[in-house]
Amino acid sequence: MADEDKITAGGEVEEPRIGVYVCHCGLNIGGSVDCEALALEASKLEDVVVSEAQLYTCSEPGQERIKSDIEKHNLNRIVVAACSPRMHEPTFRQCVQDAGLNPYLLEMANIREHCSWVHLHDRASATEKSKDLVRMAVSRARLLEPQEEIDIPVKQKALVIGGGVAGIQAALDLADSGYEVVLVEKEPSIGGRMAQIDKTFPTMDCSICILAPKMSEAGRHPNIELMTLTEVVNISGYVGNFNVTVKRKARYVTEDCSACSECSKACPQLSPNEFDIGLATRGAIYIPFAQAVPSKYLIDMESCLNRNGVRVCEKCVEACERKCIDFNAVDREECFDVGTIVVCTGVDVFDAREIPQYLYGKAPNVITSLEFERLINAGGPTGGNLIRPSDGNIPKTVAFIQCIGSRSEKTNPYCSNVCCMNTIKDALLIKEHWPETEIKVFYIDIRAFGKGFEDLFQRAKKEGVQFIRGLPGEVIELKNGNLRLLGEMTLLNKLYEIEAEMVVLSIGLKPSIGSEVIRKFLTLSITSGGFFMVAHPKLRPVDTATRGVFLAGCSEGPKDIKEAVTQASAAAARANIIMRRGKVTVEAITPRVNRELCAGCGACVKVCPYQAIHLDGDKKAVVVEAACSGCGTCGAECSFAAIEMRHFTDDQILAQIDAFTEHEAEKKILAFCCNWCSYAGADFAGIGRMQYSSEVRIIRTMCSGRVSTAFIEHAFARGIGMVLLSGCHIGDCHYIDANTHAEKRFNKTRRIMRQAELDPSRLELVWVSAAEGQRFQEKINSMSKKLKTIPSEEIKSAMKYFGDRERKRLEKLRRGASDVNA
Amino acid sequence: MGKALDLFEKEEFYKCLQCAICTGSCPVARVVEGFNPREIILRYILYGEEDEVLGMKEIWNCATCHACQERCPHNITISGLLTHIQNLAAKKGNLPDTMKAAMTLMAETGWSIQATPRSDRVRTELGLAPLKRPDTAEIRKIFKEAGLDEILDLK
Repeated sequence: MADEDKITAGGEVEEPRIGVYVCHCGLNIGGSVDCEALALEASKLEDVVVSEAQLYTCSEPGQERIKSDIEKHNLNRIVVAACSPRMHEPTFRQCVQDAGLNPYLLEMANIREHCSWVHLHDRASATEKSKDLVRMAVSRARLLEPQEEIDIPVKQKALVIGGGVAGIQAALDLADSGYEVVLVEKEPSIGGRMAQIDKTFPTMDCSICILAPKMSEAGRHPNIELMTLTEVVNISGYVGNFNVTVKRKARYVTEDCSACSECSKACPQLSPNEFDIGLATRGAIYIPFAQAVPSKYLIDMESCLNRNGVRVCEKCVEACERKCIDFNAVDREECFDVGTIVVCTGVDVFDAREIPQYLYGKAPNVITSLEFERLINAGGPTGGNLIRPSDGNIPKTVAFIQCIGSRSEKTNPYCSNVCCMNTIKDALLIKEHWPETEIKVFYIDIRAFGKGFEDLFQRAKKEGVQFIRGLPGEVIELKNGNLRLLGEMTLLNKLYEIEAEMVVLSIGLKPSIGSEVIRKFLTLSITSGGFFMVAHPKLRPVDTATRGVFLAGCSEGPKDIKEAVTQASAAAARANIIMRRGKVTVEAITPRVNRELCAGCGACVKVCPYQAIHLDGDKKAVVVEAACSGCGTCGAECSFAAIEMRHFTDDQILAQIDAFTEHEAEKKILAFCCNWCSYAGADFAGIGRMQYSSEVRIIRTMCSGRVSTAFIEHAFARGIGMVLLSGCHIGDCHYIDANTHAEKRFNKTRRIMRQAELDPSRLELVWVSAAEGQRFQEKINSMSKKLKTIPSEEIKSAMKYFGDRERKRLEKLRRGASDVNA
Repeated sequence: MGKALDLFEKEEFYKCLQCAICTGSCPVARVVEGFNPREIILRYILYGEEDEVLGMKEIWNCATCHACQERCPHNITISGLLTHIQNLAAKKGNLPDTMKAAMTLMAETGWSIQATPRSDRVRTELGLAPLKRPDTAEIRKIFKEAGLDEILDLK
């Protein structure tokens, strides 16, 4: 490799020759930062050979300039001051690699998301801050070393979680591409919400008619292993090599079942049928619906007379000709490995009882839109007759109320996306069967944004459906079971009192409860509404921040069938890319152990979330690279400086701290941010242009667990005003639980400060998810206020105290090292 | 005006969707034509028609029953806004005579309803002690703090 040439015989990297490239990013950076002044300032820094500002560094000419400069000036380190490394680090790594430099010799200064975008109206401060950010980047760049990445093989098998229409589509696409697929569904049949719906909008297709062929195809596909009544109980590992454990619940009916239905007829028990949302009953032995896949019966042990192993009823056993009933069946766990995962965990519906003034659950003729689907469905409990639950009559007036549980701070803050069109479709269905029915739709806004949606909306109006702007304040039940709606028609500025024989509440969608478990295993982030967050909302709309894990369907956000299917095919294609390649490259950020310095104390072994470190026969720590994810918490725990975290070394981080604490450190805040959550959260604040105070300087580590108490103490010894430690929320850590060690170190340092009679509130801790830009903004603003109140005496005392501590610690280390060498 | 009277947060009103649940829930809107909390939010906050709204006589019809606020999907403090508007309107001279009379009585006697000679007689007949005159000096202090001195023509 080219970079190996640059390593001298003694293993010493040759003198750094650094090129600094400041990007205007049009006005994105140039509008708030004086880029020319910044480039000039950078040119004065030690070891900087070239420094210049460019309009767009990521552009072809921008990259060409870097490449030619590397050649011309023999540069061996590149600093790009531009956007977030989460955005363009891969671009520039490729760029320097093309020019023959090791990609790890690139460093980025984030002067856009963390500077120009969050200090839009304070050019002077933003420019000063950007100078610090470049100083930090240059200091780190000076110490960067070439690294070699390793490839790991990818298992040619995929897991699809959730068997709704998205999961079915993703599984079929992957299976058709030739990969083995495990499709896991917690219900007894695949089909999901789409199977429950009568017709689809805007085409008015019969939902189950178009879904059932896909369901059976998934059921019989040679590459798909269908696991229904199955839940994921654990996922470990990483891209290419996920280890999955599932719990397969007992069905009590064997594979031989021919779905003849004799057992169900014989069953003496009755339970509400979940598929019909309790509007119909089923036996304890049942099939969820006619088109269910697999087409096999099952026993609900909660309602079977033979529960708890007591045999009192043999009716189904006697009725079953093929002898398929097995009361001895038990739940069992199964483990398998997959290379990629597509998450399609779908949605639950809003519980309309949360809005008591609309009387759902109290007045029988107030139903939900999902119940409506079952009532209007020819295969449903009423054979497609829309009847009033109170008296079985067909209503002559029906009122739909929109936005139930959606667009509300009290319930779900987001728009559920499908309810407007669903109601329009429902209204047309009523008109189709009973044209004389008077239909009123009470709404806030009608959102008919998709292809063909507007046409359907117009059609409903033409057919006489009345759209009334203004939701009822309350619904009153009358003696005859009718409902009186009280509200205001905002378009007429007039109050109404309208009577309807039936009220349909257009309920919104919310994240599926089961998806919380999946989220934990896969360390996925969620957006404010509780849905999974994609890696980039525009350009990586089905990827997650966890490599090898993709999203499809409503688990990512409420969407209609077409969108869910589109996303599923996209997710399958993305998973396909990883598996087709057959290998993934892992970043060279794993630790190296200096055996001479290692004291064999085993502290690193204790904190490693992956059991990737052990002590060998000589009581020296050994890292298993394939198991390590590079969080760095071992490095932070080692008191003997025996562990070097590649690309995030102690020296590099300390150099970053030194670079901006040279002047006026007491007026600055140091923030440690983890790559996955809090750094991304700070990026999110930038993207959202959430303005905050400019004192903060961010140092990125992979995990908050990387942050050693020595870094924090060093910053205080250098006279820093305040320090913020930040990471993923507890339970959301991308390295299992490495952030809990960050919390311990935070508490420890605060304790030390208290004992030394220093102000412990100068060190703060905050958990910020990738979606919580505002939380980051608020934290920095509150710290900025506090910063201005810290007396200089306090700063000085901390400098002295932590300076002494550091000197003692280093002395001890040196003594230890010389002992070893002796 | 004292801070205690600012019972609402302007920011939260930008969440208003004009869904009209407030007006639909309002018992006053059912009987008083022209009283419409949704419209007040729209005009006063979203359209910025402050002067016009402060001059409306209907703003004094709010019963402060909080039904609008309780049912608002965004938890917007609509009753708080109405109180705020009434406070500002009063300063601008938009204060109904009945209200003025009631407040003047309160300032001068300490009572919101005047004790009549008849009520004194009835009390004597029932063997009850005569009503104690409240300490109006205290009340006047509160009125002064609240800025009511400038609005009312007090003796």
